[in-house]
Amino acid sequence: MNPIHVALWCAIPLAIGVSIDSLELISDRLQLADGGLYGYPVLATARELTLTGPLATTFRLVFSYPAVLSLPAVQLAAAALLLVAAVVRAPALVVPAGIAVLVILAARLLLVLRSPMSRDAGDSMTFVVCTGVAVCLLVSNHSAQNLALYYIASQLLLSYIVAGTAKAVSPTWRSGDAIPGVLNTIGHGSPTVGVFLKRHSSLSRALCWSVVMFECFAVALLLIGTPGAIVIIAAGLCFHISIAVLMGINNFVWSFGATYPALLQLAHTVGTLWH
Amino acid sequence: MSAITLVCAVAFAAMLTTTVAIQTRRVSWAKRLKRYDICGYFPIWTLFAPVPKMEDTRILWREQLLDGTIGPWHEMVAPQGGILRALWHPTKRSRRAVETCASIAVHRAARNRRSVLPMLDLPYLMIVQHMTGCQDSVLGVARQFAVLDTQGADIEDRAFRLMFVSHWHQMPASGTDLRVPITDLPEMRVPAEQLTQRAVPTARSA
Repeated sequence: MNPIHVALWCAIPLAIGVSIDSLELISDRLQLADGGLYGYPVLATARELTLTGPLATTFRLVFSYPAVLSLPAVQLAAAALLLVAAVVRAPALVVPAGIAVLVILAARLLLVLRSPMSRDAGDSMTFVVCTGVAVCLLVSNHSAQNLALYYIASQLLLSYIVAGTAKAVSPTWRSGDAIPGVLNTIGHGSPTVGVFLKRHSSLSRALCWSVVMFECFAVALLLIGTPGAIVIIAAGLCFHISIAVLMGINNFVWSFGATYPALLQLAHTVGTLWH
Repeated sequence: MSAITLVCAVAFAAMLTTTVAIQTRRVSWAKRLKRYDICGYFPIWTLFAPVPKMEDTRILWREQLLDGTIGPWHEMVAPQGGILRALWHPTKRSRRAVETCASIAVHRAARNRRSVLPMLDLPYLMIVQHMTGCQDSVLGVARQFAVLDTQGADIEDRAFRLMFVSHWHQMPASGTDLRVPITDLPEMRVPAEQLTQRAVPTARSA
């Protein structure tokens, strides 16, 4: 499969996820103001770099409110260009799309630098996808483009196996208490579902172990090639959509979903090696 | 293999190796690198494990008025429920920041019970900055916050733990003479542990 085409498939959920995130940030913009949770007068004191360093003045110009709103606005514009390029597939738009991905990466890194307390795994995966897609779109070497896609897929599999291993060694997860416990919160769950699962311990245990098994054995499924990757993607989409619906973590669907075309590319290569 | 392919292979291999090393939290060079990773580029993939968070950490605040009256508790960035947040959840980052700041502030206050240094930490200052920025009565002269862990829906009789109660913080605009000076409030003359014990029935009735 042409790696540039695969990268443009990755770019579609990436662009949608970044757009939603940027609009959410603009919607919650009062938290970025001086009286908000992320008011810069306090955040600037977190590091010498932003308080007294040589770039402190520049950071203050960029990070103060309302100038900081330019970062999600720039992300939104870059995501729009990326989406157009991914849908239209014109060769002339490949390099501009790559530059748009770099702009998204830079804006997102600056936002995390300013407000470190709000970062999550969805942001981490967005950084990974941006890195891989940018290299794939901007470097003309075919082998390097494939390596960029393999990098994205490898980080995805690493995320699953690390998360799965951490859950497998956890007594809370092994006993089946983790999912009902997490869901029995308002911010990260649905208390109705949490109470239901607490009353049905066998179902809770089965759900916990299914998450552990999926995450731990995703790497093994990839060895089968494309059919294995399709199983990972189907299970992964169910998993992340459930997290979005039940826990409100809506960015995982887009950031992890953006890695799946790269996973198919890696699986295709693995399948070719078997043959 | 061309030069660009080699460079990409080395770079990606290095990034993957660094990510693996960071997950273990035991490799010394990886820990040092993570300290310099101020933009959070290198990920930590232990999601909701090994100890998943099974309670809502919430911050409530209240204010003292000019005449000494203590106002009701208000919540700082309340958790949002409902199915719509699967598509649109603008407060998720603020909620995460509230939980992170509250957890760190409680942890540091517990480890430094007789010290005021925890009040100079970034998480504590972020909470105070937001608390003093919230709109309420123009007669307010001081504000105080409390950290609670709750489980279950608000409409139920659910378990909650009162984790921390702050001192009263004078509002920046309150240059007027106070009918009840803040230092004369009974809460200011007792250690933090007694503040917490006394605040439990008050919080339950809020």
